[in-house]
Amino acid sequence: MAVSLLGWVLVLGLVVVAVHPEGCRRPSNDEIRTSAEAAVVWFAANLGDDGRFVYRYDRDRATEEAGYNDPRHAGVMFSLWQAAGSDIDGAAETAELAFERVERLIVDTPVGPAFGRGESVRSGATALLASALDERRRVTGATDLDELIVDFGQTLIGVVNPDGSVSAGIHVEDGPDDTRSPFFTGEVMWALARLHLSFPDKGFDEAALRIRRYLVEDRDRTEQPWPIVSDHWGAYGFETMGRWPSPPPVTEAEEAWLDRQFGLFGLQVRYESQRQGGVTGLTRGPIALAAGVGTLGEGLGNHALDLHRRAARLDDLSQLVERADCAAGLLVDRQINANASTTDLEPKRTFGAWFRLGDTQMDDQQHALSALLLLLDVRATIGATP
Amino acid sequence: MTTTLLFLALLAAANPIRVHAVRPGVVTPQVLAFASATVLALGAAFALLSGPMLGLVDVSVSSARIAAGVALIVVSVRDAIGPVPQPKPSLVGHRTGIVPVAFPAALTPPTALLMIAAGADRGVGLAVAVLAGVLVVVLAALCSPRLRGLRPLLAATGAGGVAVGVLVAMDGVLAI
Repeated sequence: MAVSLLGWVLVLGLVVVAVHPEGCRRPSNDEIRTSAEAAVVWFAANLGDDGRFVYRYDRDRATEEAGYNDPRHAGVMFSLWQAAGSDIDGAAETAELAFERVERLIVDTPVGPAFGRGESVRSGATALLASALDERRRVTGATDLDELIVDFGQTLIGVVNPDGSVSAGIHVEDGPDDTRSPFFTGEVMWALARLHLSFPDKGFDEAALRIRRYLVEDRDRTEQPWPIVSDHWGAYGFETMGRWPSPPPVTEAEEAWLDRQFGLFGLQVRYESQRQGGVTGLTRGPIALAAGVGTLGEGLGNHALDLHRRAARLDDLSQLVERADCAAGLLVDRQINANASTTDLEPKRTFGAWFRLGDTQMDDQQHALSALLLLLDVRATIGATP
Repeated sequence: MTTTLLFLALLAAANPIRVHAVRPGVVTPQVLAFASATVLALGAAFALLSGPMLGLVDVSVSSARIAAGVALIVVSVRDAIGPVPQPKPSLVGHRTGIVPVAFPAALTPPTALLMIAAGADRGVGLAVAVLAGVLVVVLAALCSPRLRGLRPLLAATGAGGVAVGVLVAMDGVLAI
């Protein structure tokens, strides 16, 4: 009998190594909003006179680190306009200042204007900029940039190949190249899906649908991304297409793809929530980048909105919201608040930011901010307010 | 977790060959009754308390499936390559249905974890109904004449249990 009991203890011990407690909680709407506001404060405080944000900052050495990334700059602009849409102070002003830099970096390419630097620019940067400006249009009602937005849309159509794949690079003289990106495919699909909503007679839907088919049926097979991508940009795209006046029907292949995506997002949140310091540092490693956790929240939030609109898969919907809550809880708890930043040499570089191993990067704030605001949207839409 | 996978997993967890290996000298209806009541009562208790138990340890239903799968793999590996279980030590008389038949042969860590996962995921009623179905197979094995060559039979069922355990764990990994 004692041997049997010892066997139980040993088996359960192995189980504990495989499955840790998940530190999930459901933050209140106020907590989420306060966290989002702090992230906007970080962007406002870390925007230079040249229109560039502090890209990466080392908290321990109190030094700004080199580097910049145009797609992320555009992504930050989107998040800020999203925050402006939620009436967060300072977001719109900061986004406008960030756009001044963008205006100087619009280049002509054989497929149309694009955003970036150098001889080859990234299609994702133009896609995210188009989405950001479209969000500005949605939030403010301003139509002064419509011509530019539509031109960007034409550029994006130009990077979509006949099979629906997306060229990651656009050479300023030779046009789109043969490179691929695990992120740009979804970014371009999402931008085109948004533009179809804003400019329905420009034919953006055809290219968006071509990418959608490729994303679901061919992307993993031909590009073989590893690890398999949990595609938050794709989630944005699906959610946006669901708001088209005539949304495309969800095919069997798409339902299967969504199944895999839901699982990937859910697994990653569950795994991340098991990282609670102490011994879990040995079994689960250090916490993930806030950008990573934020993308999980973005993917889950968008898929939740999409399922809710379709009134489909209600069991999955409730679990998606539960995981999105968990991701938001992790973000709220890991953000540097006012108290924690007072002991830093440069509090304005740390307050409202998320750090991993002493570093923060502007996309940490970008994705976290978007995820938090999206969850507030989910709660408002679905009515799941705590 | 589908009902079929739950049935196969519980069957592997309460491996009928393992139960047959601890078969008392005399199997009376009372022995069967004690075994059934013990397994069903404890199984139902695990399923009933699944929500509070998972809440207490902060584990989601999806991760509980991973836990059940891992436990099933470990116990099945022991079935496959470990020593053949013996009918001793045991209680006496009809209570041999409790020890060693119900415990430790039929009620194993994966049995408990599967009932917890299934109770939270599929509902207590279905979980207990599937366990009752598995129990029919287990009791049939207990009533059958003593089998020869238990080692290879245990190895085969253990290997099957490992495969089912992998499926259960993957079901939890791929779940939301």
